[in-house]
Amino acid sequence: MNVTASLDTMNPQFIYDALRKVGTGRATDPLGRQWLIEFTGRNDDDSMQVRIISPEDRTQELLVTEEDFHFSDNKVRIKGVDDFIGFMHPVYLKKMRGFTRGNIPTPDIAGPTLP
Amino acid sequence: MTPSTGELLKSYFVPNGSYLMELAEDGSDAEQVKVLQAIGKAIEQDLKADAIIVASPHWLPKSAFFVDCGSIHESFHDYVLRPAPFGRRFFTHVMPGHPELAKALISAGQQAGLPVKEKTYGLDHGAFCPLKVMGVRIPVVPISMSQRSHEECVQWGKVIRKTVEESGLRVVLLAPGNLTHRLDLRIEKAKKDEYFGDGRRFDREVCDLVAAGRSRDVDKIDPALWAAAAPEANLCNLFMIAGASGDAPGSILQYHGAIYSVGDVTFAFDTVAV
Repeated sequence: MNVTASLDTMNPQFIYDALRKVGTGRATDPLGRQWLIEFTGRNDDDSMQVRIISPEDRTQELLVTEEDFHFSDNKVRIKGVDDFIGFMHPVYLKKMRGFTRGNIPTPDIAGPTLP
Repeated sequence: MTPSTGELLKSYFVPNGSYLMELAEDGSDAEQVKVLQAIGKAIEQDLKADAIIVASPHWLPKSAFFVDCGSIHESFHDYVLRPAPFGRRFFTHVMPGHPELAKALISAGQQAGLPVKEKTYGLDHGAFCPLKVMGVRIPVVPISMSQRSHEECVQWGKVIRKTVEESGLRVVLLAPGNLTHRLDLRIEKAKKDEYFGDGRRFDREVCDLVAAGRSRDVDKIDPALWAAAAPEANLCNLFMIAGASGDAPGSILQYHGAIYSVGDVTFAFDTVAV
């Protein structure tokens, strides 16, 4: 299956929730199924707690660094999640890549404090 | 021939809201836009700067101050897009880098005992929005603002200045940010002068301290008021500028309490002897 990227700004594929302090990516695998990648925390050494939720609702908690993410123009893979290949629109893929490198976006869901 | 001495020409604290790019694209004569455009013109035509060091308030890693040594810097999108509430248009920007200055900053920072490292990052809107509205085309060095202590930010600012002065380059430091930054309270169509009380008080205290050359004393503002205002990047940007400028007073080029809960201010700082 080819996953064709289209920029649907009504359904952003990476958002930041400043209330929960969580970034969430939504990727589509080659079978057209949806995966969630939730960034639930950033540690003092810039490693990150990530929760991966598969299309079958299988949840995997990982401690990762930015080097564990492999981004190309249209897809992302994550070390330690061998069965995951996630396609995203390049605009949101770069947004998520920036997040792994320390970016805190303008929040989609605003909270009383940042980041 | 004696090599020319480098100089930190000016430092600026400027707004970075993505709405500024929409205003500029529409030819708005809003004060925030006009001031940014005037700064851009001054940087290139009057100051004749060789490079800009830009510290985005949205690049907030924890472990170190990071420097992007790339020769080209491409923007990436990191704000909400229309038609969502408070969404903005999609913008892009590309600027040349200055790898030599970037590497000198890393070396000097590490020699000073600070956690300074290289990272490929690009330009988030905290950096590219003001640069785009300014219209500058000279090389830039993106650096992170980072979630570090205010004292470390001051020391990093001192290192930046020393590095520039030893580089033979004429450089401007740009550290964007907002004072009050309560996006959860924002009102898109807020009336002129409609602004929440704690934000107004906090912004006034910061402006008074900065204008008096006491930027570092913003630490002494009532913690409850600080928490209510939730300033962007914890005002690490002002501390970095204080270190770089020699605690110079800031000239207020414009101030605007925007969308009910965001303090848009533009400060310009000379570099004073230390």
